[in-house]
Amino acid sequence: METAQLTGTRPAEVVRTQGLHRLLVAAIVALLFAGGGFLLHSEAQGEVIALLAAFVAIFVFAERLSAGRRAIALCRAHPGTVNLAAAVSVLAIAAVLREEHYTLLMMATVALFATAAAGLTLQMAFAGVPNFAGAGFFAIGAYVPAVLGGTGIPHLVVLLIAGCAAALLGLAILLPVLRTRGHYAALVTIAFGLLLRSFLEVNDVLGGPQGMKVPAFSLFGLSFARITEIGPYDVSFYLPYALAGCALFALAFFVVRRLETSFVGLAFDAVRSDEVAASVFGLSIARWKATAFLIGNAMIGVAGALYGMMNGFVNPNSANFGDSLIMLSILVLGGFGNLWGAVVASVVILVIPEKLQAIQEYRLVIFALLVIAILRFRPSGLMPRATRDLSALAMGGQR
Amino acid sequence: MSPLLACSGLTMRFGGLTALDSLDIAVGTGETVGLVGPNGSGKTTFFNVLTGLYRPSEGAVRFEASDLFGRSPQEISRAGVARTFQRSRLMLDQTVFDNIALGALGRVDLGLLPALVFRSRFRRDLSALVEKATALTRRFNPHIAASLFKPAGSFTMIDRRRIEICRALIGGPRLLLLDEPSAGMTHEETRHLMDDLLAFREEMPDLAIVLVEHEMDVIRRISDRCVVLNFGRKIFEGAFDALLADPDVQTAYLGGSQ
Amino acid sequence: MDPGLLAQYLFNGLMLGTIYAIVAVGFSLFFGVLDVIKFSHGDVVAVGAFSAFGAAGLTAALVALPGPLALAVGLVAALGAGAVSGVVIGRVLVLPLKNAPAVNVLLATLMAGTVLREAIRLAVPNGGNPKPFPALLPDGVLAAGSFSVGIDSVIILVGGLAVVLATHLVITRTRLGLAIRAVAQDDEVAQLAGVNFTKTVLGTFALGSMLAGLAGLMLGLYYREINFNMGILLGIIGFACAVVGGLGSLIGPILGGFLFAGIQTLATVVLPFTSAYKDVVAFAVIIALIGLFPTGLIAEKSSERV
Repeated sequence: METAQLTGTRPAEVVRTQGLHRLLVAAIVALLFAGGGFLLHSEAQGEVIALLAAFVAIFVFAERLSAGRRAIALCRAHPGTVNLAAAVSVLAIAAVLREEHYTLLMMATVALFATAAAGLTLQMAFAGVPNFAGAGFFAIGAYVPAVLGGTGIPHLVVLLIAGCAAALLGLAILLPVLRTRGHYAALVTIAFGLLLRSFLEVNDVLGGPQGMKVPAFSLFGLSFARITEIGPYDVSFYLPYALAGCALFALAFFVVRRLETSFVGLAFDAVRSDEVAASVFGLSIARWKATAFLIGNAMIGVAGALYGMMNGFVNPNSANFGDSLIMLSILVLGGFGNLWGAVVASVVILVIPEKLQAIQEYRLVIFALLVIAILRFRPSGLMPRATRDLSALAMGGQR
Repeated sequence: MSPLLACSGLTMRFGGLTALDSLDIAVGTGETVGLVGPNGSGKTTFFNVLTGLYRPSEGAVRFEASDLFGRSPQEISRAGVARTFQRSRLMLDQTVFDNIALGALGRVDLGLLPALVFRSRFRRDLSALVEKATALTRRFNPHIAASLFKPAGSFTMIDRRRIEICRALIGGPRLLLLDEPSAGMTHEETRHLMDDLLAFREEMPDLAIVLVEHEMDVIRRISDRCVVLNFGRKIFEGAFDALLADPDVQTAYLGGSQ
Repeated sequence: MDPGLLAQYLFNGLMLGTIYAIVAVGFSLFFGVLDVIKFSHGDVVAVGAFSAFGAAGLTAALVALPGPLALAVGLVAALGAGAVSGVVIGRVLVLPLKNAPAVNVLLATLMAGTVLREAIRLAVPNGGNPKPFPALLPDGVLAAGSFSVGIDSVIILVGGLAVVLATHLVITRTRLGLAIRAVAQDDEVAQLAGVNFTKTVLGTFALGSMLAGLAGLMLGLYYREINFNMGILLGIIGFACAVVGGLGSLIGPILGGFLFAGIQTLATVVLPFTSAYKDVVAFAVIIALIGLFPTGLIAEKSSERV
C-alpha cells in the first residue's frame, strides 16, 4: 500500500529532487532572515522603507502567484529544513552584527516577545483559554530575578523559578478562568493584570512605583554584562542576550510544535473548538485548559525574567495593559497558532516603530487599526496556521 | 440476563419543565433500539442525560455493573458510551484523522512526556490509531480512508456523517447513540448509510445501538425494538409493526386532544 | 461611627453606583441585541468627557454663556460624540464581526478603544496629562450637621438616577425599546415580525453610547478632572458590573453597579488601611464575583444547543 511504498527504498531521482527542494527551502529562509537582519540593523529611513516595501512585495507574491504558493507549500513540507536554516541564519546574523548594541537588543527583544507569544499560542490558539494579562505574567517573571538574582542561586535555576512563579500566580485565577468562557474568562484575566499592576505600585516590598534593579544574567559564573569579547572579537554585551533569547525561543518553539503534533495537541484543539464533543469523548475540559494555561504562563514568565535581566530593571509599568494588548496583537497579526507568524509580527510591532521615527508617536493607533483590519478582513492572520497533518509521523522513521 | 443499559424512573426537569418523565428504558447487549417521538418529546434530552451533558433530576442509570447516574461525560465515555450529534459537530478545518482520533483519545496515553520526550511511544500509538481509522473508514467509504489527512470540511454531508460515526466507533464503545443520522440527507444517502450500519452491526454483534430517527423506514430496517416518547414519557414499547397500529402513538403524531 | 461621615460615604457610594450602572447598562444592551462585548465602551466615556470639555472650552472662548446654557452645550456634545462613536464602531466593526469568536470581537473593540484613547491623547493639546474640567454647575454647599455636600454633586446624582429611570422607560415603553427587546429575545423572529435588525442594533449602540458619553460628563463634573485613559478602568468596572448583574438584562447591571460601588465603599469604611489598595480590592472583587457567579446574578439566556 501507499505506506509501504513510501517507507521502502526510494529511487535515486526522488532523493535528488528532495535534496533540491531542501536546498531551495533553505535558500528562501536564509534570504528572508538576511532581509530581517538588514531591517534590524538599518538606520536610514529610506532603506527601512525600501526593505519594508520589498517584504510586502514578497508577501503579496507568495500569496497571489502560483510560484509563491508552491514555495510556501514546499517550506511547509520541510519544517526540519526551515528550522535548521533559521537557526544557522540567526547565528550568522549575530556573528556579523556582533558589535551592534542596538540591533542585538532588538533581536533579543523580538526573540523574547516571540517566546511569550509561544506561551500565549498554547493558551489561546490551541486550548482556547483567553489571556489578556500577558504583560502581567511577563513582569512576574522579571521580578523574580530582581528578588533572587543576588542570592547566589544559579541564574538558570532562577529562570526556572520565574517560570514556576508565573504559573503559580496564574493558579490564583485558574478557577474563575475554568468556570467561565469567552469574554467572561477574558475579563478575569484583564482584571488580574490590572490588579497585579496596582498591587506592585502600592506595595513597597517590591520597590513600589520605582520598581527594582535586576542583576545581569550570568551563566556558570560568567556575567553577561561583562562579556565584551569572545576570542579575538570585540562583541556587544547584548550578543549573549540575543543568543540566549533565540535559544529560549527555539526551546519554546520545540515544546509548542511537539505538543501540537501529539495527542495533547489534538486534545487542545478539541477542547477549544467544541467543549461538548470533547467531553462526550472523555476529555476533561478543565485538565487541558489548566495544562495550557500553566505551561503558557511559565513560558511567558521565563521570557520575562530574561528580558528583565537584559534591561537591568523592572517596574509596575512593565505589567501594563497596553503591553498585554501588544502581545495579543503579535498573536493575531502573525496568525493564531503559527509561531513563525509570531516572529514576523514581533518584528513588525516591536522593531518598525523604532525604525520609523515618523510613526513613533502614532504607533499605538497604527497597531490598533492594523489589528482591527486583520480581525475584520483576515482573521487567521498574516501567516495562518497550517492544518495539522500527522501522516508523516504515523509512517514512522522518516524525519 | 441483565441488560447492558437499564434506566429506571429517569427524570429530567428544567425549572418547571419536565423534559423526561420517569422513563424506564433497557437496552440489551447487541440490541438495536429505535427511539421515536415528535419534536420536543425528549429524545435528544435522553441522549444528553445518558452522556452526562445534563445531570438528571431523579432515577437510576445502570450500565453493565456500574452506576452512571449523575456521572460526568468523561466517566460515562470511559464506561463505553459513544454518540453522534444531530447537528454535525466535526472540526471542519482539521483532518478527518484528527476528528476520528478524538474518539480514541480516552484510550491513549495523553501524558506530556510521551508528547514531548518519548516520541517513539507516541508514534507507535499514532500508527496503530491511523491503521484502525483507515480500516474503520474503509468499511464505510474507501474514499474517506484514502483521504484520511484531508480537512473534514472538504467532504460531503453523508461522508461527514460517516466520519462522525467512525469517531464514535473508534474507541470501541459498548453502546452507540445515534442522534438522527438521516438529518439533512436525501433518501438515497440515508439508505446507503443504513446499509453501512447494518453491515457494520454484522461484524460487531455485541454493540448495542440506540437510534433516534424520524424516518420510519430507517427505524423499520434497523431496529429490533422501538420506544416512542411523547412529552418526555414513554408511550409505547414493542416491535415496529405494532407501533403504527398503536392508538397512543397515532394520537401523539396526528395531534391528539391532549 | 459619626453619622455625618457615614452619610458622606453613603452619598459617595450612591454616586459611584449611579455612574457604574449607567456604563454597565450599555454593556448589557449591546450584549442583549448582538451577544457581543463592546469593550470600547469605557473609552466612549472618555470621548464624552473630552467632547464636553472641548465644547465648553471653545464656546467659553467665543462667548460668555450663562451657566445652564454652557452645561447644555457640554451635554449635547457629550451625548452627540458618544452616539456617533458608538454607531460608527457598531457599523464598521461589531456588526461585521457578529459571527466571529467572542474573543475576536473583544479584541477588536479593545483596539477600537485604543484608537479612541490615542485619538484623544493626540488631538487634545498636551493630551497625555490630566485636564481640569470646567465647573458648569452652580456652587454652594448643603450641610446637615457634620454632613455637607456640594449642590453640584446633588444635581449630578439626581440627574444620573433620572437617566437610569429614563433608560428603563425607553426600553419598556417606546417603539425602539420594544424592537430592542424583540431582537434580544430572538433576532430572527423579530425580523420576521418586521423589526429592522440593523437599525435596531445601531439604535441600541447609539442609546448605550449616549449613556456612556453622559457618564463621561458626570465624571468630569464630579471629579473636576478628566484623563485620556479614564475609560479603561471604567470600562472594566462597567463590564464586570454587567456580568455580575447578568448580561442582557436591564435591572441586573444596575444592581451590579450599586453592588460594586457598595463593596468598594464598604471596603474603604471597614478596612481604612486598604485605601491605597482600593483598586486591588476592586479587581479582586471582580475576579471573585465572576468566579462565584459565572453567568451573572440574573442568569444569561443559554444558547448552547446540542
